[in-house]
Amino acid sequence: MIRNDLRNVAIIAHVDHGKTTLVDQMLRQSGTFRENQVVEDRVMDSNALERERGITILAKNTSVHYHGVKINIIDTPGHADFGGEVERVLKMVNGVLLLVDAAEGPMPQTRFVMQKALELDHKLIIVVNKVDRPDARIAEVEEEILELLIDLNASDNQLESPILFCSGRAGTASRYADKEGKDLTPLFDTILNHIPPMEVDEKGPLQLLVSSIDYKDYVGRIGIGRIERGMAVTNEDVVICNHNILDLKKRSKLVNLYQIEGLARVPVESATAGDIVCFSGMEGINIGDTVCSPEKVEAVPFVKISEPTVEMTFSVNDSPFAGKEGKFVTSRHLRERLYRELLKDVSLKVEDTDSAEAFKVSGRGEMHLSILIETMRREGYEFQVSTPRVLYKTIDGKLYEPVERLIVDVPEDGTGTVFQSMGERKGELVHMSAVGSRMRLEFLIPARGLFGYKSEFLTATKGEGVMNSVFFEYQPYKGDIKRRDTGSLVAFESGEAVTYGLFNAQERGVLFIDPGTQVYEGMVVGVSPKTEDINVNVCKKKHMTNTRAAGSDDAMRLNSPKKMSLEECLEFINDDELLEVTPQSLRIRKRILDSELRAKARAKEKKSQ
Amino acid sequence: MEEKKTEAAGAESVCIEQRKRIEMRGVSSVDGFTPKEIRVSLEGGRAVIEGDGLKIVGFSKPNGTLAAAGKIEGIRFYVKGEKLVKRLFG
Repeated sequence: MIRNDLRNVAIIAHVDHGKTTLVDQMLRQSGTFRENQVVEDRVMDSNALERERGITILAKNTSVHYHGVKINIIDTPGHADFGGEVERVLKMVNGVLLLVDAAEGPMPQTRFVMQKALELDHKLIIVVNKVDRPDARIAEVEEEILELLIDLNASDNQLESPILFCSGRAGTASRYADKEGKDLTPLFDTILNHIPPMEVDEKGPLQLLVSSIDYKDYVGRIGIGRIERGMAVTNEDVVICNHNILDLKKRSKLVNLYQIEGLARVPVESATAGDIVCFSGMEGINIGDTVCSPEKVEAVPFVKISEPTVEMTFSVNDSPFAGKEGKFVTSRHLRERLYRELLKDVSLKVEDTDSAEAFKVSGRGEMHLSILIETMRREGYEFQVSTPRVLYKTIDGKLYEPVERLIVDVPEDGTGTVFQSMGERKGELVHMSAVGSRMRLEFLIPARGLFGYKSEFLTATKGEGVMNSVFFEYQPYKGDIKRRDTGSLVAFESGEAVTYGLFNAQERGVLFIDPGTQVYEGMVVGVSPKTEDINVNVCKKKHMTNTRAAGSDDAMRLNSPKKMSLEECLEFINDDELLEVTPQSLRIRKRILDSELRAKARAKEKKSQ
Repeated sequence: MEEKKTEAAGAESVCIEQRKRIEMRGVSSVDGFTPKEIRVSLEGGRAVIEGDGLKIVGFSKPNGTLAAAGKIEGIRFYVKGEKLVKRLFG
């Protein structure tokens, strides 16, 4: 049977190239919303963190109806860190809308997802988006896309994929670069004509591949996937198996079945092969599982989720200020929350350590873990994290480390400093070319070489540089990389920071705190240009007893403190430091708070080297 | 337009156009660059392009191609294990 009434399409692009805005417009123009319905922008982004950062973190499903055809649209994360999501989503669709920004052109994530889509031989529709940008370079970007397709050895018909020129914000699409569109009709028509209807066997025994999972407290785990064969009926007995786990054969029941209509999940009695459905009632269902009819238990091959590459230790906050700002502070809270995250995020790994208060959490990059930290923080959790570490592998007795493909776009005069920094961080130039008036450099660099580089990069390029990286492969260890060469200003007295104390301390480096901030011994209050840490007393008050010459009491001018974001703090902390995360504040502290014990430990360490 | 093709040790070819643009093949890596010099590694050794206002306009490691522009004053080769120095346009 040919499902002429259905198309399953994923929208894939690099960060901020306009995926979710275009989906918003497709929903509006296909009549999913009533004329007078109040709709927030970025309809598909459901949590505040996504809206705030303007990025999609979780793939979401929605559907529109156009000329009697239901088009399931899946918006995928634009971040390489969540590669697990993109690979799984591509299994649910057979067509891909590839969005490329008309000014930025193809970037790492475009390359990463395009490679995945081509490997699965999906039909491709290329959308050059944001053509209304003043700095749009449409002809050049078209050329770059074709070069990228060739570079990824696309097949002949993939090279002839249709190209549309859209403005997601204005909601217009056109087949010609020089002609402005009126609405998205050309886009809808191209989807219907270029992406073939699926040929399915709706009479065979049920086979449903789980490509995504969601979690609701009331309903429990929700599996999301496409029916590969047969029909799914509620309250039907099924068997769960998995292509990578041969001995998994578990009997279960399809309790609830939903289909996606617009943005809502509508309960249905049954669904046919080709439909993308959600279902609940199966405890322990996981991504990569196949739900089969008991008559024929046959697992669907499944793209193995890529391994995490970066790890951090999450531990209970034991600083002197512990428990003052967070709602959830205990080890049980922390463990429960981390293990619950595993239910939804397949690219994450959590392991207990020998201490009941600390857990090893690994993910697909610094950003992946920093978004988890930020989300937990906003939920009221209080905890500490260590500096990020890469996950090494030993292959044939040799040490291997994760290497990333880094693409930077910089002004012409910024290439020298970037190249020099890359040299120090063991980066290797593999490509360099002019892009408009800027230069694009491509490096292969160890993941650990990228720690702390973002802020250095933005400073070196005066904020004009754009950098993006994506995991490339594991390569032999490339030797030591010089970490942070600055020291920390460490408070050696607890109390309230006063102007007098800060005034003296600011001569030793840049401070992070204002007068009136509560500090404790061992808390890092600034950064010093020297490599060694310096103990400072920011609580020191002026002694009122002694007399002073006239004029010595001039107003003390304090330099403005450096306020660091979560990412900057993670980049800043050294191996002997921790980041204290609470719903209201971020405090960097030494692992050993007492200054004498810390000095002894450092002396012992020097002796052992 | 004066074009001079030169077979150099290790590089498949070096093409210099009017001493304003240089294209090399057989480049295995770019080791460093400033407006005064560009240092590259070749299969057979290393080379240093000297000049003024130099800038790399294109490099591709897989293809081994390098293109640079600016005022080209000279190119110096260091063949692996040999102290032979050849200088063009001295």
